[in-house]
Amino acid sequence: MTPVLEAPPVLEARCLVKRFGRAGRPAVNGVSFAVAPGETLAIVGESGSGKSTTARMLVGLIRPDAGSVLLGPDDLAALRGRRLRARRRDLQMVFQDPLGSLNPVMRVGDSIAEPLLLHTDLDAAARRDRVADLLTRVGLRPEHADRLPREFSGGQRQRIAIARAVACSPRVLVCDEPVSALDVSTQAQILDLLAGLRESTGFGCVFISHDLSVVRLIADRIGVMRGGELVELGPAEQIYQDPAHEYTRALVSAVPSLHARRKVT
Amino acid sequence: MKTVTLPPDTALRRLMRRRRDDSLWSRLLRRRDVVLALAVLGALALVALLAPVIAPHDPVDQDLLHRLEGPSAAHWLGTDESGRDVLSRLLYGTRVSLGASLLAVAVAAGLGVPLGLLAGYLGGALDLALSRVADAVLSIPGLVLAIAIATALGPSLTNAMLAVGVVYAPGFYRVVRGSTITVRGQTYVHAAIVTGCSTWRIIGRHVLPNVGTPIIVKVFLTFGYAILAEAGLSFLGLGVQPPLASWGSMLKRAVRYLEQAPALVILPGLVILIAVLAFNTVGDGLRDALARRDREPS
Amino acid sequence: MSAVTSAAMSDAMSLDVRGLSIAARAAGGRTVPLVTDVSFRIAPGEAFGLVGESGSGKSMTALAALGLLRRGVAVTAGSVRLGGTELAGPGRAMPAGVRGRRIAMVFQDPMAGLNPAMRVGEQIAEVLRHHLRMGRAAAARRAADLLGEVGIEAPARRARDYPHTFSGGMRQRVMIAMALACEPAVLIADEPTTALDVTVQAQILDLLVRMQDERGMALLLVTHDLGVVAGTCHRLAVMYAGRLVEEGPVGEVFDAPRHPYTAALLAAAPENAMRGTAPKAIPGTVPAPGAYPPGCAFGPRCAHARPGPCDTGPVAMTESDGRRVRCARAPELALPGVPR
Repeated sequence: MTPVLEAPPVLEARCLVKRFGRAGRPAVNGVSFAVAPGETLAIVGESGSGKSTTARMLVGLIRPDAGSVLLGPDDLAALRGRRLRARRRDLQMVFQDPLGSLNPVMRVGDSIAEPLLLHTDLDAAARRDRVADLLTRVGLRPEHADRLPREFSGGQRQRIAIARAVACSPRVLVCDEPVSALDVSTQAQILDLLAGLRESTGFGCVFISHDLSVVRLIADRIGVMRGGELVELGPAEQIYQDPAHEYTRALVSAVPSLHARRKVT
Repeated sequence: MKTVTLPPDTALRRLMRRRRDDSLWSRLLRRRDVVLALAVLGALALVALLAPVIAPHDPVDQDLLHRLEGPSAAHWLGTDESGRDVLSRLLYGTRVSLGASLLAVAVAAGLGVPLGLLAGYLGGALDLALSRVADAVLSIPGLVLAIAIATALGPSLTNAMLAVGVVYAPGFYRVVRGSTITVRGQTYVHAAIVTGCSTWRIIGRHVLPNVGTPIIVKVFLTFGYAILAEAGLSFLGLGVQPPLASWGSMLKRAVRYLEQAPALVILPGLVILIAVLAFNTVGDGLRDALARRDREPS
Repeated sequence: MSAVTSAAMSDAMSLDVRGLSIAARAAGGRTVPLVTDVSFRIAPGEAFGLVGESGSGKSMTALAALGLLRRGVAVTAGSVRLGGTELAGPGRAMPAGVRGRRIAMVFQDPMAGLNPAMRVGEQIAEVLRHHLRMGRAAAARRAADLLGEVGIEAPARRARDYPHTFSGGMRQRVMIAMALACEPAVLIADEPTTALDVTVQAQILDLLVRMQDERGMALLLVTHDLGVVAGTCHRLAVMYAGRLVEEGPVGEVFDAPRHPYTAALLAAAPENAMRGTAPKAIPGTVPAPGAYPPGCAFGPRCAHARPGPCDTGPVAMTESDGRRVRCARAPELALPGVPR
C-alpha cells in the first residue's frame, strides 16, 4: 500500500515540548510532524536527541508540557482515563527491548489476547482463534501461545510483541528502535515482517531509530532530531542523496561502509 | 523462518543454571536445613489441624491428684500445676499459636500488600502519606504498640493478634512498595499502558504476579515474628485467656513452678524456638534462592 | 601482508590461538561445547576482526585469551599463546603479570571497566604503578599524557574528574588509554563501539587504528558488525556455532566470500541499505549450544546445502591461497560479495 499523502494524517504531533527537571534545555523542543495513512515516518537521532521522549509522548507514556498529539480528531495529550484508554486501540507501540516488553509470568497467548480483551467483544474462543492467526502471521506457530516469554529468542519475542501491537489493527504503530537489540540476521527478518504487515493492514508507522541504514528501506520520509529539535524532515531519498542540514550530512557519512578498506601499512 | 530453537545466550544461561538448578523450588530443596525446616513446618501444621484427633487427653481436664508429675505412661510429658496433660496442651497450643500467628500475618499482608501496590504504582501524594504512616508505625516499638492496642481493645487473643498484624503491616508495605516501583519501570508495564489496560488491571495482572515472590519470603519471616509476638503477649496475659492454652500462656503459668517442674518451661520454650527457627530458615532460604535467580536473569 | 614484516618478530610477539575448544559444564555432568577447534594468528601491527552473531563463541574466544572465562566454562583443548607464553590451555590459569600488561582489553560498556568512585587519572595511574612499579608522581604524569594521546582535551585537568562526568565516547577513550597504559603487545576490543552513537563510533575506530599504527601492537576486534570490520581490520574470521567458518584478508573475503554464511551475513548487513540494496534476512535462528545440527552447523539455514556433503560428519577446514573455509561445497560455489 502506497502512502496516501494527500489524505488527512492519521497522527499529527503539534509543537511538542517536554522538559525534565526545572533547569536546562528541554528534552524535546517544538517538534511537529504528521503521518499519512500507510506511511512510515522515521525519526532518526543519536542518544539525547529526544527521539525516544517524542515516541513516548506520542503514545501517552509521557505527557507533553506543551503541544498536542492528534489521533484523528482527538488530542491524546488532553484525554484522560477511560476515553484515553479506548483511543489507544488505534495507536500501538513496539518497544526496543524484546526481553522486557512481555510480562515474564504471562503466557504469550494471554499477552497477545490482552488488547482483544480490552477493545473488542470477542469471546474467549474467538480470541484464541485470533491469537493463533496473529502468531502465524508473525511467523510463529499457534501452539506457541501456551509458552512463557523466556522460552523464545530475542527475535521471536519481538515477533510476539508485534503480534500484540497489531492485534486490534491499530491505525498507527510507533516502533521505538525495534531491531537495535537484535542480531544482524534477525534485524532484516523483523524489518521484513513490519513492512509486510504495513502492506497488508495499512497502518501509519512512526519508526524511531539511531541507525540511518536500518530505516533506509522502510521509511517514506525521515525526520532527523538533534538536541530535542527536528533539524530536518523530508522524503527518505532526499535525506540520503541531498541532506540539507550539516548534521544530517554528518550522520549519513558516519554510517560505516562495507566498501571501506584499511590501508595496509 | 519458522525454525524454533532457543537463542544461544538464553540456552547457555539455562544450561549453566540447570547445573545448580532451574526452578526456585528445587534450588530451595537442595538446602538440607531448608528441607528440614519445611518438614518441621509441615508437621506443625498437621498437628494444628489434627490436635483433637491425636491428643491423648482433653487439654483442659484437670486432675488435682496428679499435679506437676513427671512423664508416665498416661501422661507422656507429665502434667502441669492443675494436673492437665502437658502433651495435649502443647498439641492444642500449636493450633492456637499457629492460628493466632496466621491471623496476624493475614492482617499484616492484607493491609501491607494492597497499600504497597498502590503507593508503589501510583506514587505521588498517596505514596508520601502512606509511607509517613508506615514510618510512624515502624518507629514505635512493635510489642509496646501491640500491648497498647490489645489493652485498649480488651485482652483477647484475637485482639492481640490483630494488633500484631497492624504492627507488622509496614514491613509488607515496604517490601511490596519497593518491588512495585522496580516493576513499574519495566517495559512490559509501559506496554500494558499503551495497550489500554486500566490502572487496576495493570496492578492486578502485570505488577502483583511479578512481586509475588518477595511477598512469600516476607510471609515466612513475619510468621516467625508473629509466633514470638503471640508468645510474648500471652506471657504478659494479653493473649489467650485461660483455660485455653497457647505456647506463650503455658510458659507464663509454668514460670511459677520453675524449680519444681522445669520441664513445664522448657517444653513450650523449645517448641517456640523450633517453630520460629523453621519459619526463619525457610524465609532466608527462599530469599537466597531468589537473590541467586535474580542475578541470573532468565 | 606487509604488516608481517619479519617472521622472527611475528613469532616472538604474535597472538597464536591454536585448536582452542571451550565447553560449559551442564546438568548431569555433561559438557556443552561452546567453541570448537578455533585457530588463528595475529601478527604485531595486524588488525584482526572476529565476526559472528550472539552465541557464535566470538566473545568466549576473546575472554579465554584473557583468562576471564566465567565459572563453569573452561578451555578443554588447544591453547592461546603470546610469543612463548601460554596464556590459556586446559587446566591452565593465566600467568601473573600478563593481563593488563602484555594483553589488554576494551569492553563494550566503558562504564563496566571504570570504578565510578575513583578519578580516571588515578585509575590509569594505578595500572602503571601496579604493573610497571612507577612512582606516584610519574604515574600521574603518564596518566595525563595517555589521556591526551587518546584525544581528551585538557588531559591534566580531566584526569582529576570522575567517570560519570565523561560522555560515552569519552569514557571509551579513557578505557583505551587505560588499556594502552602498559604498552601491551595485544589489544582485544570486544564490541568497542556497539554502545556508542554512529558519529562517535567512527571517531573511536579511528582512534583504535591510529593507536595501533603508532604502537605496532596486534589488535583483535570482536564484533557483530561487518561495517566496523571493513575499514578497521586487515584480516577477519567469521564464527558460527562455535567454529570458524571462514578466514582471510578483509578485501578478498568481502569481495568473494567462500562460505555461504559469510555471504549471507554480508547480504544481511544493514549498511547495504545505504547504497539502496535491501538487506537480505537469513532464515531461521542460530542453533543453541548443545543442539548443533550434525554436519555443517549452518546447513539447515543455507541456500546452498545439499544432502550428502553438508549433513554427514563434521566438515573440515580447507586452506588455499592464504584463505581458509569450512564448507563442503566451497570449491564449486561462486558466492556474491558486498553488492557494488
